[in-house]
Amino acid sequence: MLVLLPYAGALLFSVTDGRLITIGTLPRLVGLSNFEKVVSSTGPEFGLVVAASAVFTLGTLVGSLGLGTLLGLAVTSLRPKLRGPLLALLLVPWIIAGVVVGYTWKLVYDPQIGLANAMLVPLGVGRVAWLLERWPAIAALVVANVWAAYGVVLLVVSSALTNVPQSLILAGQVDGAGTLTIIRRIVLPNIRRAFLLAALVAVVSGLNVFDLIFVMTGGGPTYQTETLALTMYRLTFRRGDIGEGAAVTVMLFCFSLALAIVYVWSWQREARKWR
Amino acid sequence: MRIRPVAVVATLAFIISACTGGAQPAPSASAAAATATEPTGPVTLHMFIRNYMLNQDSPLKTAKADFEKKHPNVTIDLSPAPYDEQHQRILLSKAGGVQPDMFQIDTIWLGEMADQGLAANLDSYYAKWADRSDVPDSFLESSKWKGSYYGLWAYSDTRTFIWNKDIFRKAGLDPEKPPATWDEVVSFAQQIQAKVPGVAGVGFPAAAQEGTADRWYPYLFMGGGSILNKEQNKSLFNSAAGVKSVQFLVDLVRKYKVTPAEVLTQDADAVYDAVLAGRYGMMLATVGDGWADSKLDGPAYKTKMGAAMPPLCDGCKPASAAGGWLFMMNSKSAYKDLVWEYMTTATATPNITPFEVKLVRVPVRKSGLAQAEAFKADPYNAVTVQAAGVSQFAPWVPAYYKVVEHIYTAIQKAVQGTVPVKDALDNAAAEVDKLVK
Amino acid sequence: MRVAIDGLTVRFGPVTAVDGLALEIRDRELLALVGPSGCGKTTTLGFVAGFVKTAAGRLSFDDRDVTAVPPERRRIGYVFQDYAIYPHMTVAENIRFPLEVARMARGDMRRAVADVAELVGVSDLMPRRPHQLSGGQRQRVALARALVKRPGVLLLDEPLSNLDAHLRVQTRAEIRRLQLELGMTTILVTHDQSEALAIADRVAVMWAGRVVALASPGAIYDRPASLLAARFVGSPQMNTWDLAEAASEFARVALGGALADVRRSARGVVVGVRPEDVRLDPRGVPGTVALVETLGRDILLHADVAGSSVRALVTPADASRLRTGAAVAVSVHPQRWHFFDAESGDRVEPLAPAATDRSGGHGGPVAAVR
Repeated sequence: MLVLLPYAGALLFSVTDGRLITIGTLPRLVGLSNFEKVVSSTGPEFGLVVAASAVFTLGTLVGSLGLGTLLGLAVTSLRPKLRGPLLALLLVPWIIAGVVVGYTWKLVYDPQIGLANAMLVPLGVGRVAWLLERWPAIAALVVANVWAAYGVVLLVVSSALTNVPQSLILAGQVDGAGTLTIIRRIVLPNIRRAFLLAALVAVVSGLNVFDLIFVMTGGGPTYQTETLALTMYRLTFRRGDIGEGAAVTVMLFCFSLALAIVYVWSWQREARKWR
Repeated sequence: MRIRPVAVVATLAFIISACTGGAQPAPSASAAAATATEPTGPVTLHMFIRNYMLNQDSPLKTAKADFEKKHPNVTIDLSPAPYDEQHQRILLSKAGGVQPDMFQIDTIWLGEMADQGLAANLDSYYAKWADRSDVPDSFLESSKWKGSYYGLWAYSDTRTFIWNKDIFRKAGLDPEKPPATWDEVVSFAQQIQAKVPGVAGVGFPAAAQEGTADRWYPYLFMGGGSILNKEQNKSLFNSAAGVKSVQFLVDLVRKYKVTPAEVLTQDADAVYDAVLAGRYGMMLATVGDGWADSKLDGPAYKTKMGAAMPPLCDGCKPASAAGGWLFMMNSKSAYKDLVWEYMTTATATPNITPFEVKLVRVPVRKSGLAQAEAFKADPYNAVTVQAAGVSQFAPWVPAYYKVVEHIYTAIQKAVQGTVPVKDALDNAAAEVDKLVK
Repeated sequence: MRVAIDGLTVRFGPVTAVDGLALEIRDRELLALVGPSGCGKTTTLGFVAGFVKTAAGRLSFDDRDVTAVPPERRRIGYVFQDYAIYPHMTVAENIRFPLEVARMARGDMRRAVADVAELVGVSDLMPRRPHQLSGGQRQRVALARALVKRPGVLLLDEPLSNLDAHLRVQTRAEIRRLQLELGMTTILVTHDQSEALAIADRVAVMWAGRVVALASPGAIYDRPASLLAARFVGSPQMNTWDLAEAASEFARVALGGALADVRRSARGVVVGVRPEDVRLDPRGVPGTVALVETLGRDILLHADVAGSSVRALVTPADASRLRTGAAVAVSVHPQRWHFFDAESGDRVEPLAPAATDRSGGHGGPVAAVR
């Protein structure tokens, strides 16, 4: 119950005309007009924000799942003596605060002194102004967030991998399968439930990332990289429109809830299949 | 009453002439502070203040020591916070939690705080206040919302033009001669880029932040432009002066290419840091902001960084923009007399001037400004005080944050080149009109 | 297919798991590798499969050197101790997997899977998932998957150890039937010597990384090549006495004059006799009953005879008269003694037949003629 209380608060606020300044006084009920205001906003268009959120979240999901799994496979194939320290090292980005990650990557994307261009320019790619145009900026944010988020996938995947019986892999070998086939047909299906969990965490972390984007682009330029989490902050704390901010929170919550339901449902489906 | 920018300019100008024309005898600070009744039991007064106000030379700390000696039953609790958090926690205190008896506000928050009854009406205190005549009219005006006093000014700050002298030297420019005109800004910046590889000529903040608008205001004001009308209920920033000044910023990026488009992701602090680090040659800034954090001592900092009046456009008059901080009393505070006494003690000239000199702030009191030697001796203080004479404040309407979001978004769009300057400002003005009408 | 292991040495850190092992498995033969846990038998099997990366030694299938061939190209079938059935696949998918990987044509694949399922008896389990199967069924599925691609050699690692006793006996017969039917060269690793004796063509007893005896089940039982093998094979364990020790008095008395011949064959001698070769004999060496253990059909008698502890298998009819503390007398047929060099543990044959002096010795006749 306690866990749900803040959501109940947000739900209540989302149907009132509450403003940051009027907190403490009784707000009026305004029905769904906050949602309507958010959705019909023109500065920025709501669709722009939703598209940025969707691309950013999807990018985070695919990227962190891919990178986390690859690293997980690599790490678990090592000798146990090397495995621990390397895993610890690889988890560092995940532990670092989002703000720090943001500043670090902002430097990486600096067109003059940044590492990104320093690496790309010798390859014949021109200087890219990473954080200034919508799609390069979103791509850059995705890369930074994947870097920040793959750790949880790595953690879940590598612990699932160590639970895959060695005999299954040996069985695959004697059955004539090469390494890739074994990974694809035996190892990965065996950690499917861990994948589901990792995917859920990756999606939710993509959806709700605030500090990293706030630091790197602030949602700009001109709202081009603003995701729903930043909209929520801008409405609530910059503009002081708690009601509208809460409406965005409720939308994010509903979406996360839907994801969680899908997760539980597919987990149970998997569980029935297995044991 | 509403702010009258012209009047502000006039009054500030008067102060400066008074200050440079010869010191007037200052009213005694000790006589100004009436002593409040001593509480019978132990009392703690909670003060929400900005974090840098707890540095060692803090006037709030010296006032606290004096105050607690005078009132043995009273403890002053100074609770510091960074900028954004300060704004939020004051607003949220209305919902409950620790109630500040006093809080420190940015001038642009005044209308917002006063409008909803968060701040106490100070009219009765001002009426009895002996030092009221020591505060210039422009500051008295900006302490008011809808004709009543709500804030007590602590210290002000102004925008000046700063440049990196090392970069100027490397570019073959005179390190002691900053650009005086917009044309010089462009030519100096071009020379810097031609001579010093890896350095951008000139910077300005253009991120989605309030500071983007704030650092543009001086350019708007010097061409005779204003943000809102006198009544603060209609936009004026899309005037010819507005278009001309935004076009200047756009040209720096798109036409002369002396400012990289990355400024779109850089707020005022980031550009300031970049000038200090030698990645930009110069910018319009608040000169005192960075040096305390720069790990350089004052003299070393001043040999590296210069400060001057903002460069002018053709046919423009010297101008700048001012900001600053006030104290407010919580309307719910049970110890209003004590709070008032502490506020006036802390802002009294002998107590606050050393801090203002050190952090390059502008004194609010005439008696503070009259300490001409302290301010003339220092190149930064001299120029900030000079700028104060021709400065206007940003509006302090309750919807200021929404207003400024439209303004900086218009600047961003113009700099991005996605929308013509005139259209961007007109669209923003139309939106702002809806907010302030 | 013939499998030859030559000069196999495997070290895990400071531990030598297999020590210079050489072994040849004949075509169509079922060879059992038995020994206590840690003796190196599973490591040896892993070497044949190609799992052991740090081995020194040579492996050849028929006359082809396959030492460097990776497991997936060795054409082996392997049944793991835990069966290693892919838990995310149905029975049918499990059995089909090796054929899919080998890109067999669809029709051939269906036929091969159906055939082997029929052969192993899992045809009606095909749509099930592993968690819906009993231990015995999983074992069959594992066997079917190992056999479906007709491997050159079948490797079985403790295939019966996870089954209950009853099922174990039934399944081992089944494995033997399949092996004979397919004529499949097979290596069976087990720690259960009775399993090895029951179905293997030959049994190799391993001890501390080496083969200490290699022979047919009959030979390894009747004429164990080493003391270790003699003690490991057969249940209940063989009685053994080091003649240098006091506790071997019974053996000295029972052997009587034959002892001299034995002594000439080696410096130190350990003698042994299987419990089933110790008989109740009123004319034998007298002693007392220490304990009577019922093993099922047989009764194991522990007796103190001439200061030695002697185990003997007796019939229930005999046992009915025996109570703890009762007097008993036992004898051994002279042909049933085993002799081993006390130092090397190697089997030694007495130079002269021990039976020549059967009536001599102290305390009357020691051995009754059968």
